[in-house]
Amino acid sequence: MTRSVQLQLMLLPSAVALAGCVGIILYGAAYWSILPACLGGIAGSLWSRVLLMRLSRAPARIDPPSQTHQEYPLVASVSAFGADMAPVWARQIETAREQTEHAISALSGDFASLVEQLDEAIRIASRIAGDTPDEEQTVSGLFAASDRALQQVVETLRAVLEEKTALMKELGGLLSFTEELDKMARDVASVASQTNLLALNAAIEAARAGDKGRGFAVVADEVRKLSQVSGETGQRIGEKVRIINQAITSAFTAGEASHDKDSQAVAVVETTLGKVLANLRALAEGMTVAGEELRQRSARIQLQVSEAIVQLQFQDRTSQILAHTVANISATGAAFEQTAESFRETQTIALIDIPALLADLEHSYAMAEERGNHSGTAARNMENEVTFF
Amino acid sequence: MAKTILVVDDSASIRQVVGIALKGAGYEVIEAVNGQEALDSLGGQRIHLVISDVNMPVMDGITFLKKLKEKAEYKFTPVIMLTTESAENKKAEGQAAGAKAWVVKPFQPQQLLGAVSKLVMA
Repeated sequence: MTRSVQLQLMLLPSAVALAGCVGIILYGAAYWSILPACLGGIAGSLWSRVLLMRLSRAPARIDPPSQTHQEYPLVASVSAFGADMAPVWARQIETAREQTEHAISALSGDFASLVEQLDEAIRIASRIAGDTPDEEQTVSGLFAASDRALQQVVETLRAVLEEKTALMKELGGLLSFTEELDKMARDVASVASQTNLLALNAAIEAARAGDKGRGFAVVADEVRKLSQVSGETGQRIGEKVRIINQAITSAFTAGEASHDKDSQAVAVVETTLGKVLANLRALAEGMTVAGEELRQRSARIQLQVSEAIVQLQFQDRTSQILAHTVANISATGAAFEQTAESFRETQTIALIDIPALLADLEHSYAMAEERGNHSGTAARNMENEVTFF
Repeated sequence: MAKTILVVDDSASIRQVVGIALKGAGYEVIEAVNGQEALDSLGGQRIHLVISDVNMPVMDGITFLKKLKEKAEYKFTPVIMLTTESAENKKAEGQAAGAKAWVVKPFQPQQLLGAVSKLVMA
């Protein structure tokens, strides 16, 4: 077996294994169905191990070359793969990982903002629709409070009207009193007139009595004067009573007109408020129906948000798978480069320790899927697992 | 008054979605991108619960948990490890370090909130 063939047998299986890993990265990570690519990787790995075991039985030392390593294009290719190609693959995958991470982070941020605004809108709408612990802030609560307040206004207006009615009755009572007073004043005037007449008769009789009647004449004159004063007083009382009577009559008339207007106003207010309250009641009932619809929609939205939250977490898992794979590609590239370098220096084939590379890759895993993919067995679904300690 | 929860994760998208779930349930959320930043940001403030990833750069979740428990003011603060890691030996490490629960990502918001509610009330 020539050195060239030996080297090819050593490197080709490794390349197949690496291609399997890349298959995992490029297809498996995107679709979570990486078994075929993984199997390629595993097959490559096993092939590599078998061939390397065979090679390991062959002399590791190659006959000293008569040519420099430039005469072994395969060594240069191995070196180029390790130094140039593997890093390019690693950078490309890392770039894709970073771009995905940034995009999903931005998307998650937008989604978070959207959910926050949606929650606020639902809170406001729920409050309006009556789905809030604070009864005063619901439409039905506001309606009930408004109803109570407006009924109080109507009650107050009615009370004022009733007080006014009572006042009008009092005024009516005063009018009857003034009529009585007027009659009493007329009676006083009449008594004074009769007294005056009696005094005149007494004076006449006193004159007939001569000297004996002189004293009685003085008394009769005084009585006449008193009757005149009484008559004048009675007239003045009558005049004052008539003035008062006119004033009370005017006040009563004005009061009656005002009372009628107030009664009409209260009736209008009651009718208007009744209509307003009926409209509000209809609105409140409509809002209650809308509130129920809102609650149902809100529940559906929350369910969808929960599903979206689960789906948005894929980036974290993808990112980890890619990061682990990139690290292993870099390590594999370095191993290839080291093998080529070793060959140049010692003309000895330093076997690439694929099992060690695979072990390192396996050690880096965090997820059950990664371990399942690695071993080629179905991974147990660990999602949503909660363990309390 | 809203309970305050510290979320530690190097993935911005995970911090965002955890924030959505927690804020929606009325919790106040503060964030850190790794264990060291979380320790630096605490400053003695009242934290009712910590949700931490395990695999993070600079300082991983288990180391952060151990250092957190060394601080007297956070010795009894409950910690939930929220991670893609599902290996039993890792869980055992978390339990030994003082974690109260281990939630494997991707998580369902209701399940995470159930664990949070249970531990915050405890």
